[in-house]
Formats: sequence, C-alpha cells, structure tokens
Amino acid sequence: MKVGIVGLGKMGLLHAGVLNTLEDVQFVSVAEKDSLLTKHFKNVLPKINVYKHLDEMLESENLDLLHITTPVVSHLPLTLTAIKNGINFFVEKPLTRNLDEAKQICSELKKSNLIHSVGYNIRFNETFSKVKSLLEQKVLGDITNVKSSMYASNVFSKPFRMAIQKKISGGGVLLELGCHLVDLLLWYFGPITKVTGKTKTVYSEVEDFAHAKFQFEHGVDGELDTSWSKEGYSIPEINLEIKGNNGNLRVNQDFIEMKLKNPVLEFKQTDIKIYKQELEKGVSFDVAGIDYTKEDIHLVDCVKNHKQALINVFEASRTQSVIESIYNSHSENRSLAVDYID
Amino acid sequence: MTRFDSILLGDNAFYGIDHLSHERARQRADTVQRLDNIVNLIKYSNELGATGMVVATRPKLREWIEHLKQSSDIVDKLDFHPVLPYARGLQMKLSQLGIINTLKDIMKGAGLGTELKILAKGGFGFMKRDVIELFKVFVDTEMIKLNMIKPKIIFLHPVLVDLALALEMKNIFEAFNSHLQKKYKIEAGLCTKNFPRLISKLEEWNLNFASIMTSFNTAGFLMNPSKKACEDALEKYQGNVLAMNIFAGGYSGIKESANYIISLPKIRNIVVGVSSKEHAKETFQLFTNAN
Repeated sequence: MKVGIVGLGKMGLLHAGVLNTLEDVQFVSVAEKDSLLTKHFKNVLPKINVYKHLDEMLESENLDLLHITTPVVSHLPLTLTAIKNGINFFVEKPLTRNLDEAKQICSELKKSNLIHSVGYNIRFNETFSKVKSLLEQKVLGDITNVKSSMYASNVFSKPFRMAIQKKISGGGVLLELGCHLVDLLLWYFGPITKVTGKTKTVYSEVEDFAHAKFQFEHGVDGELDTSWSKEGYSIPEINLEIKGNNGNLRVNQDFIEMKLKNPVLEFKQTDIKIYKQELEKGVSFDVAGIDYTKEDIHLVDCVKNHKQALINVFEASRTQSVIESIYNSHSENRSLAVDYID
Repeated sequence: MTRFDSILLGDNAFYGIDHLSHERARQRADTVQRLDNIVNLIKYSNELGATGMVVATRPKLREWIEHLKQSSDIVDKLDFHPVLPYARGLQMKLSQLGIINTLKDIMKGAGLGTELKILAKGGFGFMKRDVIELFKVFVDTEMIKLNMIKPKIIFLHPVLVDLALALEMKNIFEAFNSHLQKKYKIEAGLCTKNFPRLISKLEEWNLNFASIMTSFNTAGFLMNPSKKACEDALEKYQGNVLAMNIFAGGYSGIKESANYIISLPKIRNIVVGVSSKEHAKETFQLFTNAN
C-alpha cells in the first residue's frame, strides 16, 4: 500500500515515522510548502519523493492513502482534493474550523466510497477504550451522569502562533483539546441533543476556557470543562467521572477507578482500580505513544479490507456539530438543540 | 558484592514525576522535594551503592547541581548519564512555535558561545544548508546545560531516537555518536521504546553505542513489540544495556521487579527512582545483594 503525507509539522513527522514501520506500507512521498523543511527531509530521506503542492504529488504518485497533517485551516481544501482524486485519507483532528466546512466535506464524501479517518487518537488509548467495553457490558448499569474535563498548561500569555487567530484556527481550546472530550462523549453515550455553553477568552482572540452542559438523547446528563491555561498540567490530562445506577467510574490516561454497588461479571470486588500497565501490551513500533500506532494500523487495515474506519469523517462531523452548538449557545446566551449533518 | 556494574539513580522522583498517576504527581507538586532533601537522598543512595545518576537536561538541572556542589563533594563521586534533549520542554515549544522557530528559539537561548558559533556560521542562514550540522548545533546547545558535570555517557532521548529509527535516519545516529566522541570525548548512548528494532538496525548499519537505555519490567510496560521480543533481543545483544522502568512506573512491586531483573543475566546496569530514605534502603538492598 502506497502512502503519502501532506504537512510535515510535528504530527506529520510522527505519522511518517509510524507508517514507515508498518508491514505492507510503503511511505513514498511528502507534500510540504516550507522549502526549508522539505530540503532537510530530502537530505536525510533521499528515497522519499518530496513535492511542494498536494496536486503535484497526487499527479505523480499512485497513492492508496493520504495523511493530511496540516493546520486545520487547510483541511477543507486538502480533503476535497483527496476526494476529487479518489484517494482514501486520514485527516488530523479537528476535522475543520467550523460546521459549514464539515458539511462541505460530508456532502462530497457521500458521493464516494472512500475510506476516511479523523485523528481522534484518544479512542485508541487503552484506558478509554476499556471504558467503552465496560459501558457496553453495562458494568455501571444504566448511566445517569457524566462529568468530563481536559486541561493543559500551554497558554499563559498572548501566543506566538498565528494559528491562534480565529480566522485561521476556527476556535481555541474547545476546538483544539475539548474536541477529544466531545468525541469520547458521543462514542460512549450517543447523540447529544441539547447544549448550554460558556467560553472565556483571556490571552488572544480565541477562547482559553470553555464549559458546557449537555443532555443526551438516551437520558444521560453531561458536563464538559476544558482549558489550556491551567497550571500544573505539563501533559494534557483528560478526566471523566461517570455515574450509573450500579456505581461510579473515573478514568484518565493512567487508570480506571470503579466503585460498584454490586459485583458484576468478572468484577467480584466492588472497589476496582485498573492501571494502564495492565492494559498496554506493546505495539509493532512506538514512535511517540502507542495510540498513534494503533490508529494507523487500524486505518491501514480498513483500507486493505475496504471497511469503514472507527472514527470516520461522518462521526467526526458530529463532534463538529456539538462544538458549533457550544459556541452558538455562548454567543446567543441560551440553550440550543444540536444540529447534526444528515 | 553485587553482580551489577552500575546502579544509577534516576531524577524523576525529585521532580514529582509519577508514571503511575499524573494526577497524583500534580497533587504532590506543591510538596516536590526541597533541594536539601534531594542532596541528602543522593548522598544516602551513594552510601547504599548508587554509582551515578541519570539526569534529564531540565531547566532546573543547573540549579540543583550547583546546590549539590556547594554542599558536598558528591558530584565528583558520581557518574552522570544525562539524557538530552529535555523532551517535555521540546514538545511544548514544538506545539507553540513549530519546528523551525523552535530550533531558532533553543539556539538563541543557549548562551553566548552558541550564539557566536551561529554568527560564525553566517547567522541562522546556516540552518538552510545542512540538517546534520543543524543537529550538531542542537546537541551543542544541550551540552551547555551540562558544563558543570563530567558525563560518563550521554543518551539521546527516545523522542528523537525512535523517530529517527522509524524513518531510518542512519546519519542522525552517526552524527550523534561521532560528534560526542570527537568534540567532547564522551561516549554516546541511545534511549528507546523499541529495543529489538534498534539493535537490529544498529547491527545492519554497523554502528556501536556505549549503552542502550530501555525498559525491562515484569509487566512488559513500554517494551515493544512485546516483552518476549525484548527478552529475546537482549539474549542475542552483545553490547551494554541500561535497564530503565524496572518497576513499570510504580505498578510492579519492588521484590517482584528485582527478581525479574536479576533473572536477566545480561542486564548489568540499572536505573532506579527513589523518593525517600526508606524507599532507597529497600531498593538498593535488593540489588546490591544480588549475585
């Protein structure tokens, strides 16, 4: 399988590394506008074909899969180019800057039978994927409530990055980090029907803090809180607290903690703690976290067997819908129903 | 008489780093060890058998080395094994500045010597010419943080080793090895989360490093592609291995972990983290009595 990458930033290099180690994958080409990066890349990896523009790369290479790892501002034109050329693709999260862009991609994709995936890699994290199976097994019984948070210590002054301009990034912490929470919540509990959102901007023109309350279609109440301006989080940290009628569960990247009312299935005790060390069992190659390796292995398998990926563009567009509703709820100062793409 | 050639003290515990729970580490951040406590713990560990230290090139490294030197002659007794670059700092910069501006930022902040070197090379324009030269200057900027100690082996962090290995960048490995040996007369080592593939590639490329630092633990934590594959690779490998994460980030018990490491005869060098005198005593007793 021939794979190319457009965008040689941090995530592009990471995926290039992972893909280059996978069996049955030939990482053949890169498209990158920054001539300094492409020159250095060519210098150390002379076998990889380097192009300035995606169009040139797609004209010259017969790719089976394209990884789009550019800033979000270019996701819409690049995914549309991939679709137009009939190339299966992966695009980093968030899918787009706003819901309108996501609608345009979905509309074009419906006419194709391409395989596509969006980089919500947290679903491949061992503790969070274990929670998905615990919820499906109804270990907590019927779920009533969930509180979620994601915090990082990245922004404490006016950021250097141009990407913090709203017209380029589309949003702030909610779109960049909070999108992982929304994706997890939709995966775990199904559609969110109603949203009440508040955001706060301190350091630039996009939000540094966001809080939202949710009502899910299946009766669960939820909350989300996120910020990239919170002290003490040198590594971004996700926490979920889930309440059900058979007990409570807390999960983060390190462990799952459960306090059950009654023993259920293999859980003969009611106080349970499962560490990531119990769940992680090695991957073929770890470049910068096994989630990314699993994400790429899954997609390559989907392309080989022509089956749709776990987190495809249509799934990711639902996350985009919820985020748009939070922004709109804040600006209109009222609760709003979520408008999903048909 | 221990069968280990070296038992090194890791510095993570001094900064409150906790691989079992980042949440717990954050909650303890306010009570991160005072410098005096760190100095006492290092001295005590040295008495118990610690022959050296593995240290990251964190911004605070210079501060506590200075403190260590002022209060004791312990620095001269220890073999230092620095790991560069400081990965968390690098990742934060990459997220905020992008690749090129991160490199410029690191070099600008690296002190007068490096700035003069950059100017001698014609300013930042030299970055356009040669990526290997760029990598060497990057190593030089990291070395400035280490000028208060005499490192025995300097390790390249897995964030760079595993990316360069994945992309098969042989020239990065060659440059790191030869630059440290030629310019600093110091041996080079590599840290990896992919031990079997790394040693296989090094053999193919005919490259030798003084030591490979990698995880060995009962849980198989950070042992890729599997615990069994890492154990098999260790059997065949002729070079030095420095075993890290031997307690699986605090998940495995001390005795169980020690028994496992002792059962691997090719492991003659280990790094351990200790957070208190009691913890140090329990840990060092198990390894110093091993034969």
